[in-house]
Amino acid sequence: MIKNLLEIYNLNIRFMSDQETVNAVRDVSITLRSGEVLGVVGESGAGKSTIGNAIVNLLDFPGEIVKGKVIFEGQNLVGMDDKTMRTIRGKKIGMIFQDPQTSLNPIMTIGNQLIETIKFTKEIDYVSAYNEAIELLESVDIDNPKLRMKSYPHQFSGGMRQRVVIALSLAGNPDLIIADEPTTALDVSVQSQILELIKSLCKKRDLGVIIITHDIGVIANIADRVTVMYNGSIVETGKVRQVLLNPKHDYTKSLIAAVPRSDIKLKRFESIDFIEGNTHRNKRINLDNHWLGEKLNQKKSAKAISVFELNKEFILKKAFFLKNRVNLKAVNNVSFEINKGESFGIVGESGSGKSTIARLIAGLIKVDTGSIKIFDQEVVNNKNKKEIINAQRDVQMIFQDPYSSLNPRMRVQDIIAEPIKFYKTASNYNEIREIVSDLLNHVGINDNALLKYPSQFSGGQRQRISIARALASRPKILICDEPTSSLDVSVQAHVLNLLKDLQDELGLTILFISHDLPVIRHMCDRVAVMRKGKICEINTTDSIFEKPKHSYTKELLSLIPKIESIN
Amino acid sequence: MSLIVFFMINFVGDPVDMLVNPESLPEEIERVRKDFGLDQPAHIQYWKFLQGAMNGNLGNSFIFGRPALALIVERFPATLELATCALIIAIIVGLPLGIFAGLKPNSFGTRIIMSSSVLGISIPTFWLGLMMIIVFSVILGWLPVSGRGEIGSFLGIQSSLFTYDGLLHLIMPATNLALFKIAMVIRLARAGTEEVMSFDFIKFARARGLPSKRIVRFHLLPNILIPIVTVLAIEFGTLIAFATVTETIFAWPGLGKLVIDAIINLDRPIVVAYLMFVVTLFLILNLIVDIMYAFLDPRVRVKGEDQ
Amino acid sequence: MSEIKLISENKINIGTNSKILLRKFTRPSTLISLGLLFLIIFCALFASILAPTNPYDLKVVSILDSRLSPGDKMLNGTVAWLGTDGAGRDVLSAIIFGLRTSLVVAISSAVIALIVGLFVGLIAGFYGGKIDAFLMRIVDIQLSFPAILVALVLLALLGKGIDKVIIALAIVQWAIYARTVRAAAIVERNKEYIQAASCLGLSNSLIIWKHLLPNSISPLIVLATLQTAHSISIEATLSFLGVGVPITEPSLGSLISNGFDFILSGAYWITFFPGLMLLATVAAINIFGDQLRIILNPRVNR
Repeated sequence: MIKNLLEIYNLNIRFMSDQETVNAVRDVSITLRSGEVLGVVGESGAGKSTIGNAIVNLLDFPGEIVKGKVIFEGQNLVGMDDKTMRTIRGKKIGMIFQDPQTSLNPIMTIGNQLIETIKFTKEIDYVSAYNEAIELLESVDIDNPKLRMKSYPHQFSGGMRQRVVIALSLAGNPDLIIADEPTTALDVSVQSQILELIKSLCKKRDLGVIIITHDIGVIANIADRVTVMYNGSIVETGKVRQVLLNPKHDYTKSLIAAVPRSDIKLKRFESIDFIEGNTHRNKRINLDNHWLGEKLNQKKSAKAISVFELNKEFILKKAFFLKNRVNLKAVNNVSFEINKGESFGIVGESGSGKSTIARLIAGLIKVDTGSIKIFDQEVVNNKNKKEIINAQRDVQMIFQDPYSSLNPRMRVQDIIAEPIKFYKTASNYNEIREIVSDLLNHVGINDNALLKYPSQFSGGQRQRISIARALASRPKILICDEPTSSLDVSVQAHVLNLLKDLQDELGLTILFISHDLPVIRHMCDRVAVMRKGKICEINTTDSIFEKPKHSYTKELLSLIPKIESIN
Repeated sequence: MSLIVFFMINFVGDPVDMLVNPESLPEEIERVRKDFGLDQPAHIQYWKFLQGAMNGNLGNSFIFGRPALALIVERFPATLELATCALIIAIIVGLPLGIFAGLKPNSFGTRIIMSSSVLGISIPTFWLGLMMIIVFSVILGWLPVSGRGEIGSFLGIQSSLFTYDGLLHLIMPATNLALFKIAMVIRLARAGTEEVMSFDFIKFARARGLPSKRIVRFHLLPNILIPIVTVLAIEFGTLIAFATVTETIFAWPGLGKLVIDAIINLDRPIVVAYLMFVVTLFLILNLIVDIMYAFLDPRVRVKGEDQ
Repeated sequence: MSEIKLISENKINIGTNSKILLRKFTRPSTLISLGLLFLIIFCALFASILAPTNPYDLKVVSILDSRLSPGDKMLNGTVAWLGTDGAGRDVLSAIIFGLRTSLVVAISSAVIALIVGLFVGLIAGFYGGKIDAFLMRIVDIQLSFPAILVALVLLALLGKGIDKVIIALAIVQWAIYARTVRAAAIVERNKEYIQAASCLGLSNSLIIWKHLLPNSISPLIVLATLQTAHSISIEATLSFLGVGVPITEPSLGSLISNGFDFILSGAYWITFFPGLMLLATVAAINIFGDQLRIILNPRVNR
């Protein structure tokens, strides 16, 4: 029988402050063998990162292990003193953290960081450490390692930096690697390379690897076994195939059902009610006599938005002389049209200019050149301010970060009432109250919320409040800029369902912006693929996903981690 | 800049009032006004001033009757000596205390350090100076009350640092001047330490098994020094300005005393010359900061590929 | 830096956290500083009732009482608990009256500077671009000169008088407020709720007033406290140097300055007690400000 590399028994971790006690991890038991990749998956607050930190005794204050054992190579790590622990950290167990931007000392060359680590973990002299550092960089596929030794972290791209981080955690020849969301901060194209690298290193060096992630796609791609965590406890453990394809626990079922798929287009996410509960709205409104229906069908134009040869440049570096200035063409000669009642998606990696387009259309930033028409009304360089204001009022935006998109010092009822008061669409105070509470119920929030502040709500609830606020000015077009990218998948599924329901009901036109291809597939009728400020390809969603024409689209599609891939 | 200083100083208040006896005849006042060129229109005065400034001539002192700039340059070494010593004391004392407080936020030592730093920031410098004189000079009789003491020469530099007597004279004013800055350095160092220690790269360094001493020395210290050095270089200018108070108390023959008297007597050329001098000093300090910044921070020195 | 963090992570919530806030307010150091502060303000408000004698009533003050040691009896029978100064005034009474002058100067200059700084900072932070560059250039120039120096020169030009001191201190301080507000406003301005507000079509002035101002103001609470302490110190220093408030209405600084001539002769009390009062006042405000910073910064909570 093969001996286990790591065995965790009944681990309990608690965070105690003078205000409250949080039991972050409850009775968690995990085993891992050499050469095996174990995925620990769960949504935020599940306690998955806490376990990783607890193994090497790096819990943030005031976290403490209350009960349980961590047996690593026959030794119990719980309660071990710091000096002995140092012989384990780096030498036996390596860690990889989420954000390669902050994992490296910014003012020390990566060569020195490597050499320092090798010298301390292996107790060898400078010259051998230097040679070994170069070998390490080679093994994580960094070109020209001799030259790169003299570089500082900021001279590397995000993906390269994560490679350096991996090299550093391998420096002491550990037997176990704990990777905490190692690809979350990276673009998809880089993510798949890093996962590939971790996988191959694991095989080559016969390492045990624990990958902690919120992303089921990552698990499907890399892990042998998976442990699903919810609210501090393990709900299910097993082979990846078995857990993902045939989940036993209700939470796992709900979680997997909530993951958007890139292979088929679903109408709605079904059976995802484990966490937020049933938020189906039972009352559909009659648009003929309801206030939301007024004015809705007045605009006759078939084109909701027409964008023609739009350009926007940002100054990256200011300089007195023009030739020294560095400009970024965020939006480069972009044209497209969105039909009334359609869901139009823009997809691209970070820095592709997709959010800039959203902001240009919403009138938040100024257009350099080009034309934007909202229901045939030109809004660029229009002298008639009133026409612009009227046109812009039809366009409302839902933002990415639910934590900053609501004014923290206003009550929910005031936040939603603001546009109503501003446009004077209600005649008296009671009417305003009625509309506000109606709107909230409509997005699945009950009346208790009225007097509360945004900080008392979860991310998903806040996003619902944002949607209610946007609806309060009775828009015909909703721009959604990555509306769910900072939410957990199950919450994302609920918000996406809500958006779809609203669209069906109110006949809204939606411009949906996301980096996430499966989400785009789920939400949109037509899609534009953007790269470096330009549109590569516009087509119907099905054509883009089934028969991509542009090489970049093909590349993006091939890189998505898919649950389906384990089939 | 020179415009702002010149006009601000020159067109509020009338120095002639200070120069002549209030009971003098109007003719006499006119004569004085002519002598000093104060009867000419503003722009001509400014033009003359600028011409002079180009040649290093900022006008003669109304009181001393000597070139203002010469007076300033003459007095400057004493102030520089005082301010430099104060800065060095502030760094030597403040930095280790601040780092300690940042590393062990809940220890007893930290509480003492932080309470003393609040005290250090709150205590009125001039009053403390007076109390020091009472305790160390009047009651104990250990240290001299005032003056700069004997001046020694070493490698051609004249300074009271090189004689025993000079050092005795220097201790009280320098400590007095340093006190406020010590408290500031402690706070800066503590805030920096707390911030840097919370960064992932420190956690990663610990996860790689590096010893704590090495982490503090090579990962923490260089990172917190960047903001501290920047702030301190700028604060050096404040030290020179604050030396006016300390110099008044300890009768230290530096710039401060000269300027206070000039301000009270409306001796414009000295005030203008002093301000121009301080502005130049600030420009030089800013330049030094930029150079040090590039030296300490590779992110400024070396350009990134992807940013 | 710390100010920016303070507001960006500032999600204080009065409803649920009031208990925690209350517990923090009842820490010993906060309570002591707060108590001391109230006592000081009380003394300053009711100076004419509390002081044993009126030190500026020439009918009462007698030169024969000059330089009495603490505890001695004055001619009219009152005990001079803290001694008398060179002109025969009761030091204790002079301190209580001086305190009032010091506080009036510091608080009114802080209020003026705060209003000006708030206005400039919000405008600069919200509009950005050239307006911001222009305003911040002025702020930078102002801040590149040490406060004490600017105040000295201003007072030399303006002349003596309490109003002049207040104006000078306000001019010295507005730039710090402006810079802090601007930093906070820029952080808030880039948050999505401001963009959402402009998406709704709200006018700029309405966005600044209803959204930007309430969210940018919290770092100012701490700053205003610490700045008030600072301006008490500066005013005292100026008065000590002889360019501050007039002798007819001495502040704590002028009292210390009075005693400067007597320290070598051993009459320490004329400088010592006013200085102690000054220290206590400034320290109480500073400690309170520090506690306020901790209380208002949720980062420390966790």
